[in-house]
Amino acid sequence: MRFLQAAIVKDLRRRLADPAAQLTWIGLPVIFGGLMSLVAGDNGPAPKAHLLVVDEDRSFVSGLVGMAGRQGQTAQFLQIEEVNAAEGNEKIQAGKASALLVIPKGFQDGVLREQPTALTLVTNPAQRILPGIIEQGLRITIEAAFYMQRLFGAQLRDIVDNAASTSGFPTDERVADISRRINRSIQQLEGTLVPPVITVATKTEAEQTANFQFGPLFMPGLIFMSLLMVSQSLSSDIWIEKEKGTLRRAVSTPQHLHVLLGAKIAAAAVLMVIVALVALVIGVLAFKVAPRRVPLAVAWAGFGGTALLCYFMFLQVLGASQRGANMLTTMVLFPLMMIGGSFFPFEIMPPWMATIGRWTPNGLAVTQVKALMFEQPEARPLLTATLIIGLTALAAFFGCLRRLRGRFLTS
Amino acid sequence: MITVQNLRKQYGDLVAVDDVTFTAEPGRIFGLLGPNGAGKSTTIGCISGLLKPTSGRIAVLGHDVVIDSIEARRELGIVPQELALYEDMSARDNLAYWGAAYGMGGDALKKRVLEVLEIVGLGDRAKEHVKRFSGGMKRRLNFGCGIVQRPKVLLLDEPTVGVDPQSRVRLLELVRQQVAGGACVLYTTHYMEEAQELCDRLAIIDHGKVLVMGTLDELRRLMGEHDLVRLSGRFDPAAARRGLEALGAEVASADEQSLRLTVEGASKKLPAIFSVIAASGGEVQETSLTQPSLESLFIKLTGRELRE
Repeated sequence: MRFLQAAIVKDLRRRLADPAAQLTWIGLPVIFGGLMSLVAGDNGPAPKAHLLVVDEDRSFVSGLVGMAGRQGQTAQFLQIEEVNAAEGNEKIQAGKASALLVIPKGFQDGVLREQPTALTLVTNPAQRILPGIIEQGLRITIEAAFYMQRLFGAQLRDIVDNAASTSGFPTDERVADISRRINRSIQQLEGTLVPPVITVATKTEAEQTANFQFGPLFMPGLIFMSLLMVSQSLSSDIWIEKEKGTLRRAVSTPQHLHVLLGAKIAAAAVLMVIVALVALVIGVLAFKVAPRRVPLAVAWAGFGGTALLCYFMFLQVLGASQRGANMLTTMVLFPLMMIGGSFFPFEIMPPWMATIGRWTPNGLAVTQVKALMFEQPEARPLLTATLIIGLTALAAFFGCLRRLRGRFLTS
Repeated sequence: MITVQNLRKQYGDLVAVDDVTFTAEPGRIFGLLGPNGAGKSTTIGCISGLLKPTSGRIAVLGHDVVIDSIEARRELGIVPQELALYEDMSARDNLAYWGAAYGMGGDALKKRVLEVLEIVGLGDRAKEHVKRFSGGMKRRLNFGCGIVQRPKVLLLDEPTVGVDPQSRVRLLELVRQQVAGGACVLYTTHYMEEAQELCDRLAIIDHGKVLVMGTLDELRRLMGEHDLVRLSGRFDPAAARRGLEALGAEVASADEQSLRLTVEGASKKLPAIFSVIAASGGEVQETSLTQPSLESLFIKLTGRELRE
């Protein structure tokens, strides 16, 4: 125990003797995050999706689709431009809009008389988030239209048919009759709708909108970008100690190898927690992370970062030379950073890539730290992530020990 | 006490140490003298537990280094060939860390660290980072880290490599102090002068095998009164060898540029040696004559210089 403590203090002393390296670990992700924040404009106006609408139906219902995009919170994210088909195709191909929506002829009849009909949405492949917003919004609008049709289909058909037959506005009696029938339908459904299920859906939508803000989108990944860099850098210390001869000297003492390695990892864990704490304080100050969420998020980041160190350390001892080992860890570091949600958030990745990325150790850690910082963490995914990360890190630790007892020291 | 019996260490087809046997006594310095790659560091590695012997047995104060490795290592102090120090830490912190590695702690460790700093002459530089030290100072601290726990057995693997003459004298004095305190020292070197100056008993090792072993006097007797003569120039090796052997000289090595021979009373026989070489069609450009020494013994045994 005395030696474990001495070895931890020794490694911390050595690290603190080089404060520039520590600042780099924290500074690089902060600079990267700052630049991303400026680009995304977290403090300025939110980016708007530009939707082109080709309305081939020119009906009451097709007009409602367009109007839905101009109402309430949706209007903050959506700029709708009505165009004809040729103009729409030209603009979307030139990448001048986020998406093109084509409302086909006969759409109103299809909706009101329950006949098959399809809206066509062409998205801009150069953009990820904004077309995603449009697609989600459109799905919700269609769902709403479906329920409207179910509830008030007869009354709506009356309005449309009457407008078509009279070529003008319905009579006062007709309006009163339709209003009375709508009111009766609402009264019958009151038990089901109040408290309305739709309220819950609206709340979920509000949270989804928040996900596109800088903090929740980038902050968890940036924390682990920092920890990935820390762990890769610290893992190379095993080679530095080997080259210096201090590792061989340590192995010649009466201490067990697992204590030596454990002390190294424990010292690194302390540094990881410090780095995570600094990042979380920035999160509290700049990205509205609730202070009560900080301790658990820091603990998780420390755990995840230490596991990453174990993986990198294992890769280091597999290398035939220090240079080779560093290349090996770098070859793992960058793909892990890219696919594991540190460089690009999962939300803007293609779905197949996000699915793979979420199951990488870094991805599991990023997903859970995000939940701990900004959402309500769920016990089951957290436990699953803990087990996967913990067990694989343990395997890497024992693999590292085995290699150290073998050729690493004497080669 | 260190007991090494029939030690063999093999890496694939390469035999690094072959059937090495010796005993190092408490209060004495046992030297392993040999060129680089002779197997000295491999032997030290096996004793320190860093390398597992292929066969044979090693015991440190009766503790088998394979079966009872922790206890064996507890008795050992090691001064490796490389400067195994943390350069980004102070001299004091380095000593404290290596002391803790042997289970020391608290006031006893603090006191011992100060003591060792004085012993190695770094008392006034205790808080300074090692990276600011000269090569000689680092060597002394490297030595200090090996003795901080007051080991009963000390392994010194070429501890004076690359140091200035002043620091070398200081280091050798430090080694003698440890022996005077009752430590058993195993000292490896390829410096003949160091081995002659320090060691009570010696083994000359080459290609993993012990060639000869004994006290300095015993080894000198093996050379008899034979001096070592080194000649350089242009030679016909076969003809020169025949002529020189007829004079009673023993030719250790011969090629077209150099000859090495041992001969009794060489100074008186030099004119005859030159005549033989001239008669064989050779030409002497440079001559050196060395009285019997460990180096001449090594050349006699191996045909090679110790530093080759």
